[in-house]
Amino acid sequence: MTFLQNNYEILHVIALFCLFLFSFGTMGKAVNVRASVYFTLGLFSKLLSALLWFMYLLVHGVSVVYTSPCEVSRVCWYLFLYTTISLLYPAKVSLSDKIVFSPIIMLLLTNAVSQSVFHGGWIINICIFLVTTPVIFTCFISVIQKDCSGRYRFFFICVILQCLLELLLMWCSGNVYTVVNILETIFSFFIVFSFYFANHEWEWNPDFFRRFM
Amino acid sequence: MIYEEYILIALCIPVLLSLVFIKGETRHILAYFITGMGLCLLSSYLNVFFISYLNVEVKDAVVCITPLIEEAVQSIPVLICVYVFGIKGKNILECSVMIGIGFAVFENVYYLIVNNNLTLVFVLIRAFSTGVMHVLCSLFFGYGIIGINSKYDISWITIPGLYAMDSVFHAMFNLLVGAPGNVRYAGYLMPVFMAVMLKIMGLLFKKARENEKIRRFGESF
Repeated sequence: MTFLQNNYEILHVIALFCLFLFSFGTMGKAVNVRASVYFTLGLFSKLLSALLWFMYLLVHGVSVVYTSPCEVSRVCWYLFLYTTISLLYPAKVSLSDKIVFSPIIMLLLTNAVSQSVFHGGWIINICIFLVTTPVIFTCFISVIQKDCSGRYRFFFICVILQCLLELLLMWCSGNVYTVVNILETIFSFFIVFSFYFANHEWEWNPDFFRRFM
Repeated sequence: MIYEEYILIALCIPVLLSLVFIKGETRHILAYFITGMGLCLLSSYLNVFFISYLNVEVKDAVVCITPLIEEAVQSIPVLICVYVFGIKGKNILECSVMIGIGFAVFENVYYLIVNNNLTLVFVLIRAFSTGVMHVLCSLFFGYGIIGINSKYDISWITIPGLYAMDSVFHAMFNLLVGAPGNVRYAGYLMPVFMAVMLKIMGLLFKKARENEKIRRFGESF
């Protein structure tokens, strides 16, 4: 598992860096450019989080479950993702919506109990809960009601799965943690590509990089 | 033993007195500078409190606690200036950068006074690493806030994003500098490297904008 863990962290960083570059390069040709900008910023946030995580492993030789700045960056990734979804979702479910808040309270209670049993970092966990739950429910409602545009449906399903994995990640420790983390990276790929298939009239924009030459 | 508060008083009183006589832009700049120094003291109180309250080891505290507190303490006054006092444009950058400089200066002065057996080489390394790192973080934040209020129309959601970016950068620096062996030199070089990279990127974007203008000018004929 150590071999997998050590190699996974560097692969995670490289993968996210490639996704970020891809996202940045295609930003200008999106159907919804603002959504694309937020999505790219979110990916950058996620990349930073992974980078710090990897560096911690490199310097101290152990992977930590909680490094506060990493967690703050991950919270930001979900904030940006929520904003992206809000821009794509026609009826825009607000945070104050009852549908969103009632499950949050339920999940917070579950979290408080689980944290007392497992490990610390509960402030950041609550933040992740507060942010990921609206994301899940916004996507969930849009998929159930078939309210979203058909082209975004697969993207929304991927986001739900990613958020559920994130929530699972918070309860995990040790080796299971790495496995869930790997699954999360795989879903990051799904999210990025489903978003770009949905939000772009599919064409690569070589002019973007050519301009700098 | 020299207390931090004494150093702050010694550094701030002349500047504070000068504020009475100086008017306009310079007064603002000096006020931001003093604020930065005061914030450094405040963040040291908060650091000590949280480290002892959460009972964290030093190697973890410099990665997990210190960056979050220091960046929060530096960014809140900038947000107050922007959203309460309504400063705009390049004044946002001035405010953010001068607070960062004040912070870095006070931190370095205190470090030099407390550690009195330092070599010139180490002092230079510290000045080029910690000093540049604080200024870079302030620059990121300042440019980000300007971006929020600009034509690109990015909303408040970017503020936590900027905060996270600053904190992670700061945490990476602290992590590398505190590492055993040669890795720490990578940490010392990181802020200068980043500053150079940013400058190059700025030039590239400027060139891209000029090329775009020329292309459009050509298309108009």
